[in-house]
Amino acid sequence: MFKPRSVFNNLISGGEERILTKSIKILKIGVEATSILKSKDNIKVKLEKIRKLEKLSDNIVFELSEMITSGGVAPNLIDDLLELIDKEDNVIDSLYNLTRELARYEIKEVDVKEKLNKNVERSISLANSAIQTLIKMETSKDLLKMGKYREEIEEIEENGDEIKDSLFDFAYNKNKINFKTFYHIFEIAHLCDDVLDNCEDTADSFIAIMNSIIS
Amino acid sequence: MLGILVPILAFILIMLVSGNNLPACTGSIISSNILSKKWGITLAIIGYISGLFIEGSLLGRGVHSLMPFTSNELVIIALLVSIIIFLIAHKLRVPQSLSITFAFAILGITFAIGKQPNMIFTLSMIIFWIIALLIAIPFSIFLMNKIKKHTNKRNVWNSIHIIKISLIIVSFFVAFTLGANTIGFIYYALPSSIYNFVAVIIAIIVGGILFSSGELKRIGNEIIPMRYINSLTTQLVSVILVEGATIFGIPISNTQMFIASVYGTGMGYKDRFIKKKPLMIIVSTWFITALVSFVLAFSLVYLLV
Repeated sequence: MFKPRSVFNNLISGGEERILTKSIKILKIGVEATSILKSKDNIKVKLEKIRKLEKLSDNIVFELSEMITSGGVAPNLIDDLLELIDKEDNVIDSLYNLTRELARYEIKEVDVKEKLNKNVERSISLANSAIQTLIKMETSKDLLKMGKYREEIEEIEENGDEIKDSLFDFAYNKNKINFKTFYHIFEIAHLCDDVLDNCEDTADSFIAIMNSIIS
Repeated sequence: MLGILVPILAFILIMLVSGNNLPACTGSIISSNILSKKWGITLAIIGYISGLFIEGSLLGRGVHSLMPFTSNELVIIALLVSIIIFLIAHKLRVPQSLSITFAFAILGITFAIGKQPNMIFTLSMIIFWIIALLIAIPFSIFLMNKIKKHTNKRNVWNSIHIIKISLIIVSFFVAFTLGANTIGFIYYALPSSIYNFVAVIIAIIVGGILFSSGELKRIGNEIIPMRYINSLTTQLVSVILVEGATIFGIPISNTQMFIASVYGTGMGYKDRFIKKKPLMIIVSTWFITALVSFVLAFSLVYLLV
């Protein structure tokens, strides 16, 4: 039966728009995960909470994948949209991996522990800013503003690289640390960087989709 | 006996045209789910029929200029040749123009019975085909750049809504011009009879419903996966050029205009590599099918009549 309202709704809010709006839920999970990481909770409690968020994100990705592949978007956008939600999910996965590594090993040396915690906190704050900027980017209607948000995320990611480098320098220059501690710092530095890299990849993917839609 | 064959063959040919051309009309709005398949097909069918009713008679002039005969047996040969060539090209998955095939079949018959078509009209028609093809490519580039320039990038979703609504309207007009031009050309070549009229209308509907699915899937995945602005430009160029030809009573190929404008929009992107070989194959196929249909129609008349 002809449903003028559904046809009209489909025109006013096309498949791409609905999918992109829903995909913001994944990013909001990312904001929640960074807030949990910044909280004063015990690391095991944090890990449990973030594990649940990661599962929630996987479910949203599954629903979105079904929406994308069952029609509703232009064929040339299917792969790009699937890639976008996969990258958004990678942000959550990398936050979860970071939490797991943080819970895995406790550094005994007080000064090393303080140095690492300080850098992890900075990195999580950057991740929070990057995800918030991603949300602003995906809720924006202005293509030029979207480009500016992408540049902001790029800058945040560069700051993240500096944290990673400073952690590497610290680990290599610090005398008398055992291999486990060294390796732990190394892993944490990489995992913090992964979160921001994934944010940047998501931003690039989103911009590519918007350009593909409008040009 | 021969009188029955005319509506039957006309039915088959129009049915093939209706189904085969439907993706070029509403394929982009169906494949991008702007309209469901059912409503996309309905829109195209309404477009075909209204085009035939409102402007189809303009093609009557073209038919009379090319076809100084009305006998059933000669019309049957023209229809038969067109169906055979259409099916062979379809089997080989080669895009071909029914307007060109049918026009050259008629010319072949006209020469075979020792008559001459209106040469001024015939030459004008061929020149128009070449000019339209040459215009379609730069016109597509120009139009696409204009549309892009005037697209509001400050409100992306609003712009996309406007583009999508425009796509529906333009898709309807692609079907309208096809109904007026290609289907009008075939219909006015048939002897005037209620049976032929009913056969043509039913063929449009049946062809659109039954014979478009495969093509919709193929073209939707292989040809139409274009961006919204490309689709809009391609359709718009096709509508403008086919409508221009219709006004002068010249049968023209929608497929030809569609493919030329697809190339035009592709060339509009500086960073895109466009293969020229497929275009050359398509153009040479049009020449070959025109020649084959002329020779086949001429030979059949020479041997049978």
